[in-house]
Amino acid sequence: MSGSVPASRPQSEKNASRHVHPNGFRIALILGLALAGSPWQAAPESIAAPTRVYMARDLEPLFRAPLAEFSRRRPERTVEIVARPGSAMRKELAAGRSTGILIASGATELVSLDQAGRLAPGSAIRLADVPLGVFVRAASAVKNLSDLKALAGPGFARVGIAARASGAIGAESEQALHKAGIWEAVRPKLVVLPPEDLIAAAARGDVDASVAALNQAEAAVRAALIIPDRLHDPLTMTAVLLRDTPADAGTRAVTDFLRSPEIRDVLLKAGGRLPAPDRPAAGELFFYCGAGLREAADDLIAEFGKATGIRVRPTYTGSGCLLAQITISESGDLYMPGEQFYMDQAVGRGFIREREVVTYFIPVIMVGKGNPRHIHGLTDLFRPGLRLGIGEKDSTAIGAFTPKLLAAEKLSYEALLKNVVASFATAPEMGNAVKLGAVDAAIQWDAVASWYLDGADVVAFPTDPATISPVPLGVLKFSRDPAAARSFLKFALSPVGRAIFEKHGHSIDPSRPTFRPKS
Amino acid sequence: MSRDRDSGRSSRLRAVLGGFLFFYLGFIVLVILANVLWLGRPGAGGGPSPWTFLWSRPDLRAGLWSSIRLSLVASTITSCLAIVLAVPSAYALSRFRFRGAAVIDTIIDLPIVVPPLLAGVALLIFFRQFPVGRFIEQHIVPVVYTRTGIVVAQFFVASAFSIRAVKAAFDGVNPRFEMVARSLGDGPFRAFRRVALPLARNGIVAGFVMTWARAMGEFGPIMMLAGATPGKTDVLSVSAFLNMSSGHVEASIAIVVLMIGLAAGALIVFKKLGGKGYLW
Amino acid sequence: MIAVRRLSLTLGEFVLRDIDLDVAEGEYFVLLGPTGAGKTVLLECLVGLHRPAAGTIRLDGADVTSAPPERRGIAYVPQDYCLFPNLTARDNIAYGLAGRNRPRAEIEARTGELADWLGVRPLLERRPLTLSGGEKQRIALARALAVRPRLLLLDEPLAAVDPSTRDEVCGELKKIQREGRTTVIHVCHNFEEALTVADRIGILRDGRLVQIGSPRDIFRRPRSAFVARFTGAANLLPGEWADGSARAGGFRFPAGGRKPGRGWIVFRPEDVEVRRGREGAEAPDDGEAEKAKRTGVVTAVSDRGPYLRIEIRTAEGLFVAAVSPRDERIGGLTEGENVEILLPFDRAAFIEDADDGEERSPRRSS
Repeated sequence: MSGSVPASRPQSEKNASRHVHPNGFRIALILGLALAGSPWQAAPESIAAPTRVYMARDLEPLFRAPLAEFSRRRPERTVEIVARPGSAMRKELAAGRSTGILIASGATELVSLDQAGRLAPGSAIRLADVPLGVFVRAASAVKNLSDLKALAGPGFARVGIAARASGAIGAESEQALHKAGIWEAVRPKLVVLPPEDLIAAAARGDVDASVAALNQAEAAVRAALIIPDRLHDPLTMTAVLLRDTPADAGTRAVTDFLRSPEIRDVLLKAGGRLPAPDRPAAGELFFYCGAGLREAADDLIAEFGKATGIRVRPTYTGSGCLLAQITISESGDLYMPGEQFYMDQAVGRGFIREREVVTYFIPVIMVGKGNPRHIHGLTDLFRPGLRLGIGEKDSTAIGAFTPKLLAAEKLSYEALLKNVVASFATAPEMGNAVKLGAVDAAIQWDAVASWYLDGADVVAFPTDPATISPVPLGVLKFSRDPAAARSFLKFALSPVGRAIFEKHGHSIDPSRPTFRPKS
Repeated sequence: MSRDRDSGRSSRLRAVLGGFLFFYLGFIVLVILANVLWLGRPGAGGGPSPWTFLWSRPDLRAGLWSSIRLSLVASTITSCLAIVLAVPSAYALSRFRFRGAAVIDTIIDLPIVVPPLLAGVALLIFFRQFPVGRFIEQHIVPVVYTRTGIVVAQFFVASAFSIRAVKAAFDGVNPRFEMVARSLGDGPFRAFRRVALPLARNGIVAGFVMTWARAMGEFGPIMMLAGATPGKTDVLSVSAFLNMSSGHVEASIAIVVLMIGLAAGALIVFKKLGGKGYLW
Repeated sequence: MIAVRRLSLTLGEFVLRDIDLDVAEGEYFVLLGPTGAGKTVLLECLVGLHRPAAGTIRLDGADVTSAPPERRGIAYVPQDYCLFPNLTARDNIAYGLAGRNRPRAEIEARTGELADWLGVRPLLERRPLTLSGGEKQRIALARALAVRPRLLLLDEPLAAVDPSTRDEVCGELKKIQREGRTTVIHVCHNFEEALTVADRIGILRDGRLVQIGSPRDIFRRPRSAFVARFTGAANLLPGEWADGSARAGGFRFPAGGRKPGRGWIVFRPEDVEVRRGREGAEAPDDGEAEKAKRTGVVTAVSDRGPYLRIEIRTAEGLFVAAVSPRDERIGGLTEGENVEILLPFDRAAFIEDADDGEERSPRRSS
């Protein structure tokens, strides 16, 4: 357990001051006590007893599964989760003599319990910083917001918010609305809810949107906006020992687990930013990324760097070239081709340690601005006299995908070819051709089409699983730091990562495509 | 062209030859012009022109500056290395008759023949799958996916131009000049330095310029060997490709136009500097 | 001074075979031969440009066969002069001294001295491209002489010189040799040029030195039909001699105390006398007179300035005569006229040469 106290690392202090001001200042004080000596280390072995882990109820969904997994793996250690509403838990812990580990989100609990002298000095571990987001129902027609000010607009009649007194979430939410200058405008719409009910209320549609911590996200909701740091202080998630907690093997095992890559990935996937990794200075990750995914990948890398301190170095080329590079160089950490096809090849060659679909490409029809040829669906493309563009069948993902798409729609690829005047080596070239009027229409990926909206329109048509193309992100077996690479994968799946993909026109949920077909 | 006082017949010849030249020039100039004008056209919906748009984005501008610097520095390093290698090699090829000279001559041209992207693949195989390359990579200097890789890739495909041009220059220097210098007391190295080298200077400058130009435009092998990493290995050509493949056609065209301007400027400077005081 | 022994070399189509050559200190030696004889190759061998396959070259007793050019002290003026085009005339002259890192003052003094001596001071700041052939040559000579070479090699120094200044340049070259006390080897293919400057001449043919001797020697006593023809002795009669008398064609004349032999009997054109003759052929004069007489018909007359070259067809074959245009006996001679030619026996040269590869016909001049 040497070097277990992050506060002693200058780098993490720097992080703390960047992300958690002014609450961070208080936490830094608490963390600073660690210099006096570490109780985690000092205590002797003692008999295994159940280790209690206290947390506010809104954190429970996040930790339940991993801690259950921990108990399953280490049957000799019993972990008991004690989840209470924030204020109730504060009262209970401040008054009683309970021992165990407290996981707190934000500074509210820490400060009051520290004042009550209930925390073991120097025992705090910073787990992650979690920003707040605006959550809407997953299926909601509401588009992703570019600014918190949108909450003041007519689209939102009822906005769920946590009470200021209930804890850090409420306090930071209020601060964000103030800083955005919409407090007075939004105030009449606010529905004050207990923090643990914010998400459920949004999912049910009781409110149009809720302001909640990203880690609270569930499948039924999505983050329409991640509130930027300039408007609030992301909540610092901290694990700390209650005073007089025996530093026995059980406690130690749990705290170790809380600092493990597994929990880090959970926190990352929940939208958290991790303190600088507590391991020897990691090299950077090398990321082979399909060139068409560059814009999203650039942002993903920047945000991942902010969230974890891990540097990722991308190289962008055609997915096939990248596969050749991986094959020959036998190095690198991550691979994100534009098409499943290439991932399958990489898997077949045994290059992939682990992979997940991070976004989807959905085919759409790109037409000239204003749709001058009145194209409203795939069947219109067969009208005589149209000048069509398609992706080259053998070298582009969209080109290879087009026959599959037509087959699924029971249309003839050969018949379509009669109208094709050009086939393109890359999807962007095709987008450009539509924009410049070289072709009347083209079958294109939604994300690529979205880049050309200044000079072209998009006609979407209904799709099903057979007519969408998943984009996988994989961790390479050559990775010299698979844990870090895996973190990147998890990050891509986090609300932050997904928001980035959506921002760049990628559909992260096939049921909620970037372009909706007109019904 | 202005010097000959020509009769009607040769002026007709001049018109015909000039016609060919101007057809070619006109083609190039019009293509460049088309691109420049396209950049300057008003944006969709009365927005700013692509050029203005690009210029107003500090992030794109910063990226562009770093690409320009990288391109200029890498191409210049490559060309210097190529010339340092080419001068002795080309001199040897030009002056010494030896068995297998034709084979060597052919080998030198091979990198020009290989399609650029595959030249990159070839280099990647050398540095990652071949013991010699692996040794270099591990113990001397890491090449794959580094900035060093840019220079290596450029060097591989472009240095043959230096050797070619410099060899042609040495071929054009009568060996008797050096013999005279030696009869006047110069040793072989001194004769080389004082006679062959200055007499081949135009060719050496030409070799440098050709290598530089080719290195500037190089893209495929760099992408394969050095990677296309923004801010690290994105020389202008790679940057143009990256912009193209993320839908920023305007940015890539702007880069192309910029490259043409930069290259024209640099070539003029090189030629002026190199050819200075060498009128004969 | 320089001694070449049994030097052999094959260089492409040029071959040198067993060259033996000695040139004395201060001597002006001319290597004469037709194009392709290997003159330049031999010169370049002496400079050190080619390494001989066999044989030795000694300079003042020291073997320099395999010494590099810069250690030989042999200066070289190639046919095209090879002035460094990137340097001014001054820097060209100073080249050797500058290479030896001599003090600037010495270099300037020597350059100036040579420039004055060769009359090129006004040219010093010009570049070679702007100089005429003669000017280039002087600069090249100055450049070679600046390093005070032990031996100066000149390759066809008059080839690029305007014919009108040829004599002047020859005089210049002699001056360099005499006043500068320089040993010179001069390569050319023109016998008259050789006569003008040479102390001794060596004739090179197909890579062999076929005759070495003083100009007079070569002129009067060619040792082969080739040398005879090359030096302008146009009239070669195949013949044989024994017991003090010689026979050639229809002629019979005294041959002094010669050993019996056969070969060529040679008359130089300027030794042939021509007179206006009478109609009809005359019977061969088989008496042992001072001069042999023949009648013939003039087939060509060409005015060569200092002399008239006349070709006369006789029963014995074609004869060439060079006569003074002021010779009253032949004033106004034209083609088709009948003439009488006289061959002075005492001027005849005998070439003991069973078969030197020359075709056996007197008609080979041009």
